[in-house]
Amino acid sequence: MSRDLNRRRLMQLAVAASVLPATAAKAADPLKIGVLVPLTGATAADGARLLKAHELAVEEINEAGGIRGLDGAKVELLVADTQSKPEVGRSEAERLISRGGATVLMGAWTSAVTIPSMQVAERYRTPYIVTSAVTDSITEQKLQFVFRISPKGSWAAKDVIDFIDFLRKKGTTIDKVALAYEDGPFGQTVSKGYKAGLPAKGIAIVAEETFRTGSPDLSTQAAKLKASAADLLLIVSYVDDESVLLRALAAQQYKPLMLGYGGGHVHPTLLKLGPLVEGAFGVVEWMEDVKKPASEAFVTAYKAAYGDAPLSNAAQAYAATWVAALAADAAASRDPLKIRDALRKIKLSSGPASLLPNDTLAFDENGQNIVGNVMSQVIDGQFVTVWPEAVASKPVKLPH
Amino acid sequence: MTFGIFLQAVGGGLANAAIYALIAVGLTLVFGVMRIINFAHGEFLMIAMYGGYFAWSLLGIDPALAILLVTPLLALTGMLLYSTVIRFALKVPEINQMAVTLGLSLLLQHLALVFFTGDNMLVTQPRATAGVVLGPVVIQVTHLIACGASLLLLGILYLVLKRTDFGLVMRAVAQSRDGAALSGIDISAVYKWAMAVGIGTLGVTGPLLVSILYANPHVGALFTLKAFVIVIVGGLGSFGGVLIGALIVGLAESIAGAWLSASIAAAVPFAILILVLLLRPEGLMNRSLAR
Repeated sequence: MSRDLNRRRLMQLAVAASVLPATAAKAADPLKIGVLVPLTGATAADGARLLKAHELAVEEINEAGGIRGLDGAKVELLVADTQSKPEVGRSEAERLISRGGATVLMGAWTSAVTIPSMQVAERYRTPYIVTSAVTDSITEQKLQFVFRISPKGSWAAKDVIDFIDFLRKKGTTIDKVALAYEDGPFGQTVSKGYKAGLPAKGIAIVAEETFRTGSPDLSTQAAKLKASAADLLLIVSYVDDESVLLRALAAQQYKPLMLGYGGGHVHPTLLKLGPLVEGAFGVVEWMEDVKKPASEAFVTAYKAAYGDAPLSNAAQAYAATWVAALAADAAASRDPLKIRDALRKIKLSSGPASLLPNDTLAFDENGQNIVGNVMSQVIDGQFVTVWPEAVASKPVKLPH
Repeated sequence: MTFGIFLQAVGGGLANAAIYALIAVGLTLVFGVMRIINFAHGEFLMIAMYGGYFAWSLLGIDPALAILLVTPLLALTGMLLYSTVIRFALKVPEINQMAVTLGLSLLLQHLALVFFTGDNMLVTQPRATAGVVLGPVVIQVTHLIACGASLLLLGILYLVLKRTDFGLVMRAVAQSRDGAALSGIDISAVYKWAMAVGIGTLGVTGPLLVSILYANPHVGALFTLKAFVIVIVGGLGSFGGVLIGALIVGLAESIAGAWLSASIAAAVPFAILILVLLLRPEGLMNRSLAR
C-alpha cells in the first residue's frame, strides 16, 4: 500500500516539478534501500534483531538531515520477509528491485537465503551488501555487484589457531580437537577452514560430527565426540542445536573446552543453560564490549531504543545500512551503478559504520571487507571479550 | 562405528521411537475415526510445549507434572477445534480439508511468533543434563522420562481402544461411519472425543519434549513431517502401525546417523516411506488393499 502511495506521490511531484520553475524547492525523493530479513520461519528471532539494527541506522541517518549528496534525501527502508526460505528470498529480492524500486539491497542472514537473493541482485545490476553470511564462495565468484561486511567463514580458523597458541602459552593442553558442525553451507564453510588450518599447526582433528539444523536429538553425536577424547570441541551451528548438543554432552559427562562460532553461539539463549556454558569460548565478529567509539555509541543508541543489548549480527546490519547511505552520498546519485562504484572506493575508519573490530571498513577487488574476529568467553554468566588482549575487557579464565 | 556407538544409536533410536509414536498416534487416531488429515498436528504439539514451559517459568511446576495441567487443556482445545473448524471442514472436499488444516498450521505458528517472539525458551533443570549409564550407552534422564511416559500412555490408549465401550464406539465409527450411525451412535460426539484424545496426547508429549528441546514457534514443524511418515508407513488409522512405523523410523534414523552422515540419516525416513508406498501403499499394518 505505502509503496503505491509513494509511487503516486513521486508521479505528482514529477508533474509538479515539470511545471514549476526549475529554481523552486521540492522535497527530494527518498533513497530506497531494500532489506531482506527473516521475520518468520526458523530464523525469525534473528530477523527481528537485524531489522531493529537496520531501522536504527535509518533513523539516525534521517535525523542527521538525510543524505547530503542527494539534497537531504531521506533513506526509505523497504523491508521484505524472506520467511527463512531461499526461494522466498529470491522472489522478494526480485520484487524489491523490479517493483519496489530499491537501488541497493542488503541481507539476508543465513548463507542459504543470501546466496540466491544476491544472484538476483547481480542479474539486475543492483548492489547487494551481504550483512552476515560467511560462506566463502560468496565473494569468490567475481560478482560485480556483491559486497560483504561479514568475514569469510574460513578466516575464523586463523583467529582460532592464534587463540589456541595463546592458550597453550598459558599452559593449557590442546593437542586433540573435535569438530561438530551443522551440515549446511554455514557449517561446511567454517569447518573447511578449521580442517585446512589446524593440522598444519600440529593439532590433530580426532573427530568430525555433523548434524542437521533442527535435530531434536544429538545423543549419538555426543557419544562419538566423547569417544574421541578431544581437548577442545569446535562447534559451528545455530543456537537451537547448540543447546541440544551441550545438554547431550553434559549427560555424557564430557567436559572439553568448547569454542563456538559467531552469532549462533554468542546468543542470549545460550546463557540460559547456566553452568553448562560457563567458560565456553566463542569466535565472533563483534562484541558489545569492543573498545571503539563507534561501537560504544551504537550500543548506547540500541539499548536506548530497544531496551536489550545488540548482538554481532545487529552491528553488521547497522554498519551495512550506514555504508549504503554513505556510498550514495559519495556518489551523489541514486543510480545503482554509481552507488556500486562508490562502494568499491569507500574507506571508513571513523564514523558510525566503523564499529567492527578492524581499522578500516573497505571492500577489496572481490567485494570483501577484510575484518577479523574477537574471542568471547562466558564468565559469570556473561559474554566477555577476552582476546585479542588489546580489545579484551577481562582476562581469559583458564580451566584448572 | 564401534559396537558401543552402535548400542548408543540403538538406545537413542528406541527412546526417540517412543516419543515419535506418542506424537503420531494422535494423528492416526484422528484420521482413522474422522478421515481428516490434520496438518496442524505439530502446531498443537508446539502449543503443548509452550504450555509446559509457562507452567515451569510462571508457576514453578516441574514439566513432568505440568502434563496433568496441559493435557486437559489440549483435550479441550481439540474439542474446541472440532466444534469451530473441523465440523465444517468435514462437509467440504478433501482438498479443502487439507487447505483448512494447513492454513490453521500457519496461523498458529504466526500467532505464536506474535505473542511469544521467535526466541527459544529453555527449561533449565538439573536433570536436563543428567544421564543414565547402561554399559556403553548413556541415555539422558529427560529422554528416559519422555520414553517411559510415552510407553505408559500408549499402553493406556491401547487398553482404552480395545477394552472399553468408548474405544469400541470409536473403532466402530472408524470402521464404518454410516453403519455406526445406523446403530444409534452419536457420530459428532464420537468425533469430538476423537479430536479430544488425538490432540490431548500431545499434551503429554509437549511438556516432556520442552525439557529436552526448547519452545519456539516453529518447533512443531520439526515433528509434523516425521509423524506423517510414521503414520503412512504404519498405515493410516492403525494404532499398531504407529508403533511399527515409529520403531522403524526412530531406529533407522539413529543408526544411519551413527554410521553415515547426518544428511543421509535425515533422508532415511523418506527413503523408507518411498519403499513402503511402492511396495505396500496401504501401510505395513493395514489390511492389504488387494482383495
